[in-house]
This record gives sequence, C-alpha cells and structure tokens, in this order.
Amino acid sequence: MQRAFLIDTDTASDDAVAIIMALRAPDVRVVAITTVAGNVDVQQSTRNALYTVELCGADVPVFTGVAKPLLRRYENATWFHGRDGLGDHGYPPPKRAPERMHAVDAIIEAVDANPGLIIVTLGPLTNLALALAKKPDIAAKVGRCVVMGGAPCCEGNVTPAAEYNIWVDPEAARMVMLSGLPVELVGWHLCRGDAVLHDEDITRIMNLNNNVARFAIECNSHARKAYKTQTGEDGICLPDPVAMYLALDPSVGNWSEHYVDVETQSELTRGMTVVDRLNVADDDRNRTVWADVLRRARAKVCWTIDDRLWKAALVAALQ
Amino acid sequence: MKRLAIAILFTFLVLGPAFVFAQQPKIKIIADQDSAGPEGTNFLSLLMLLRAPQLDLLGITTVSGDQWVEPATVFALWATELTGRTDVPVIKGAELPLVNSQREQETREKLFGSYLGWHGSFNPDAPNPKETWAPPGGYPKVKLRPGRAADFIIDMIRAHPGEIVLYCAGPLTNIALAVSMDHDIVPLAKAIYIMGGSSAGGPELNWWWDPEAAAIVLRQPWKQIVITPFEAGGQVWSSERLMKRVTSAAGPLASHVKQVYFDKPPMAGTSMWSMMWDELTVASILDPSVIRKSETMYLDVDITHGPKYGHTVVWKPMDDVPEFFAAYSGPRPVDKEKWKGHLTPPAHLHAASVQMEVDVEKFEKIFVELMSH
Repeated sequence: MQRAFLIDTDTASDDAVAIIMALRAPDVRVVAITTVAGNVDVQQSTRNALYTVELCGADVPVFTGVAKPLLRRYENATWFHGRDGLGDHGYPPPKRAPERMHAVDAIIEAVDANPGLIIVTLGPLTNLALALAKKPDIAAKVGRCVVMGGAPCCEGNVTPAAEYNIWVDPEAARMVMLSGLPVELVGWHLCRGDAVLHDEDITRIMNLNNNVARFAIECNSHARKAYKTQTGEDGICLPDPVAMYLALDPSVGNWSEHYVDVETQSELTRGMTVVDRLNVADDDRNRTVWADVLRRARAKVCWTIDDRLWKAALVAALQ
Repeated sequence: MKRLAIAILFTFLVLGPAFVFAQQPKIKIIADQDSAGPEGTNFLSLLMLLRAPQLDLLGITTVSGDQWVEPATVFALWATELTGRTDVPVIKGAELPLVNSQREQETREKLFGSYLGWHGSFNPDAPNPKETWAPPGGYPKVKLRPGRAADFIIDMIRAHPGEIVLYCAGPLTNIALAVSMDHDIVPLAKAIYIMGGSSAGGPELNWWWDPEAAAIVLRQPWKQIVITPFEAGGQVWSSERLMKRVTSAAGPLASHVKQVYFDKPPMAGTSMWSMMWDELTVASILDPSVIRKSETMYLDVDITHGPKYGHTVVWKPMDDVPEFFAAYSGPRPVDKEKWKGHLTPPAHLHAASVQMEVDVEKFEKIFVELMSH
C-alpha cells in the first residue's frame, strides 16, 4: 500500500533534492506538487518543480500557487539559491505545463480525495493557510503535515530569531500552526553541522554517476557558496531533503510534542517559532503568565537526527 | 411650426430622462456581506440591493460578522425569496477570520480592556457557529449555490473584466481570500465599496473581526476604493418615522417592515432603531450625490496584537509642512525637503474616497423608494 504525499514547495535547489527523494521512494505516491513564491517567484518555482519531476521520469501534476505572502512584502532568496533557484546552470524549460487548477484548490481536492494524506511543506505556508481558510475541515483529514521551517529554540537564518520559510509569511505560518493540522516541525538546525554534505559525501554522490545525482549536487552550487558566507560552514546544507527524510520515516528523528506558536507582532522577532520546550505552559505556577498566551496548538518538534543515517538515506535515494 | 417645436421639446423633456435611464447599462455588482436578519442594517441593505433596478446583482456571498455565516446564509437566501429574486445565487463564504479568533480576542480584552461594544458573532453570549433559526414564516426553500465565495468572486471578476463593483458590508475575509489566491483580479474590478473602519481611527466591527483580511484588502491597488466609515452610517438612523413611510407606501415590502418593526414591541430595554451603515453604502452606489462630502484618506488596519488590534489606521494627505512647525523649530526655518517623507503616503496604502457627510433627506428618499416601488 503506497502512502499518498502532497509536496508544497518554493522549488529551488534543496527543494529539488527533496522532491527527488519522494519520487524515488517506493512506498510513496506523490499525488500533487503545489508551488508557492518563496526562494524564487512562483512561476520559476513551478518551472523548477516541473523540471525536477521530468528529470526523474515521473508523472506528477504540478499546480501553481500564490505569488506573494498574505500581508508582508515578498522577499525571495535568490541570493542563496541563484537567480533561477537552481544555481543558474541554464537548465532547459520543462516540456510539461502546469495544471490549470490553483494550488490552493489542488490541496483541498487532494486532502478530500486521499484520507490520511501526508503533506510536506518546503516553502512559505501561504498556499496551505489559504486552503485551510477556504475549507477549515480539511485539517482533520490530513494524516501528517511535515513542515520544513522554523528555528525551534535556536538562531534563525534570515534574522537572529527566524528561519526564512516562516519569516517570509508569518501570518500564513501562524494560521497553519493554529489550524489543528497535525504539524511535525523540521527546523533549520537539523541540516547544519555534520548533516551538511562535505566533500567526501559529495564525491560519494557524484560517483553514483547518474544524471539525477549529478543534478542534485550541481544545482546546489550557488547555495553552497552562500551557506559558507552565511554560517562559515563549508558544504551543502539541505533543509528540505532533511524534512523529506523525516517525512518518509519519522522514526529516524528524536521528537517531542509542545505548544508552538509563530510571532507575528514584532518586527524584531517576526516569524520566530516559539516552542514551549520545557512545557512551562502546563505548569500551574506559570499559569497566570502563559495559560492564555501559549496554549493553543501543539506540534511535534524534531530535535536531532543521526547524520550518518540521513546521508546514507540520501545516497540511496540518488542511486 | 413653433407649436411642433414646443411639442418635440416637451416630448423630449418628459421622455428624455426615461430614455436616458433605460439606456444606462446596469451596474454589475457582487454583494459580500454578513446578512443578519430579519431586520437591521445587514438585511435592509440586502433588500435594497435585490430591488434596485439600476443593479445587475450577480450574486450574494456570505461571511461571518454580526452573525455567524450559517444563519447569515439562511437570511440571505430568505431575502431573495422575500423580494422574488431567487434568480440571484447565494454562495457561502468564510466562517472564521484568517488569523484572529474569539479566544485570542478574549485574551486581549483581559490584557488591554474592551474597546468595542458590539462584538457580533464574537459576542460573549453569541449562538454557536452552526446554529440557525427560521426567519418569520419558516426556512427558505431556495437552495444555496454550491462552491465557495472566494472562487465565485474570482470567477465573476474574470468573466466581466472592468465591470464589477464589489459591495462589501461585512468582514473582508472572502475578498482577502480571493485577492490572495489571484492578485490579478484587483485591477480587473471596477470599484470596491466597503462599509467598515472609522474615519477617526477607532474600532469598527467589520475590520475588527478580521483585521488581517481588512489589511490585505485595503493594501491592494484597486481602481477605486470607496469607504463608508462607521461615522457616516451614524448620520442616518432607522426610525419609527422612516419605517412608517415604508409601511404607508404599501409597497411590496411594507408588510415585511410592519411585521419586523411594528407588530411586536422590542424586548425590554432594547430598541429596534439603529444606524443604517450598509444601506448608506448601497445608496451611494446608486446615487453618489447622496454623499455631500468625501475626503481622500489612506486607510489601514492595526494588525499588531495590542489594545488597538483591528482599529483603523488613518493617513491624511497634507500639502505642506504644518505652519505651526515654524514656531517650534528652533533658530532655523523649517526644512521642507527633510519633511518630505512625512508628506508622502505610506507606500503600501492607496487613496480611498471616505464618505464624510450624508444628504440625509436624499438617502431616506432612496431608501423609501427602493423599499416601496
């Protein structure tokens, strides 16, 4: 029995690798890919998703979604991923066209048609927030909602407080977090340090000697340089593939469940994922402080993964 | 010959206006609103829209606000039956605000206090969201059009580019969803008329109930934005005198007005009479001269979660640095160049025409006529 996945993505270089992992997973059927403005504009995001699907020889419909955040000015991340999001290597335009239906409606239809659907979001949460606002009862029909986003109890990557996907449309992220969806949060911290692909990992993947593996490395060339500038760490940092790794098999992560909310009021901490890691909101002594403020929605938060196992899974997917 | 000329002139004077009127294309309009009923501003305005011969009412979309969307939808359907306009489709819209919630509202009130009396569907004693009740005479028989309000709005604007007037008299959730999904519809709408907000910067239910939705809608580059603020509605009141004019005209809605306004006394300590905010918006679409004075303002909504969450934010154009600055600016004259930023409207906002003064007599005439003829 194959599991049904829907991938919502602002397809740039690490998204492409995550899409490949899902398309290559034998027990997964990707019913739809929906695109959103994020790393790159939504049209480019659609082109990149279609190109990635084509490269894998897969037959998955791609639906174009929302072109900008609900309220905030749209800020892309081409400085990180390259102008085309795929490191500017001049990949050819895809042959297949996106579907006519709007991504927001595609999400609603996919949830209704596939009870227990697993949604994996790799970009800003604008599409999913709008789908939930249009049809709130879909929240109860989703099996899991794996969100690549946030910086739970750690530093962010676009501001000291926030990770890009959540920061770029914090209102949408908050709508998703408070919607009752069974959210599993995969923060930015998980793809850092030893989870980064170093030279020997890259050599291993290049030695697989196939188009998809080469593409996975090549399209991240710009991201590698940007990551070095950003963090001082050398190598390819792959947040979305780590999220997909955990979506495919949650048992490989160390999770715990907490109240999670998203900061939307402050410019200083905009888009911060506030995680009640010590469960202080449940402590009677803190009731007057927190009871009303931070007791709305719970989410599973992944704290650590085994970096060797993650890299082995990635290599296996690219074989 | 002279006599013939006079006859022709006379014919033209008598028939001319009628001829011109008949040639006027009808205004294509979508009514997006929170139709509480069977009386009050939401419902009477809907009756006006359904009866106005100048309008081509393409559909009524419903949203929560004064009432939850479920009962609002019942009353919208009932309004089409009451006016013999079951050809007008009713499409259900959003039940909940985008980000706001009753629970968060109550938390804020505990922290900061309550600054708006009427909370509509967020009233502490409001019915539960799914509860409906029968209008006088029973539930309507006409059925809801399947689909969702936001999609209907997108489809209609795309089908009639440049022609649609959006009439928005409830929270702006449906409109915000529509423009967020499809930003290109914004310049394709002819105009957006919004009852909501305050020209004085205070709280008003429609924007207060879903502040993020209001902010999304107000920040779009619409071709024309016309606002009926809270204060403009305050200049026109329903009253025994006004409703008696409708009942004594003995038109098709006279018995409805008699039934809901005169047949049974209001509950102790309450009054039937209220401000006619939504009716004023309708009247101003039909006859702009019902507004004696409008002001250009740039309106936004406070979406920071403090005591003024959901309150209107007002920026008024200024031609020059206020003169009194000179008196306080120290030894040097005012540097107008350095004050330029202050004279420039906020970049994310757009000029709206805000209704300030109403021709009450004209408004009442339009209202009574639509309700009676």
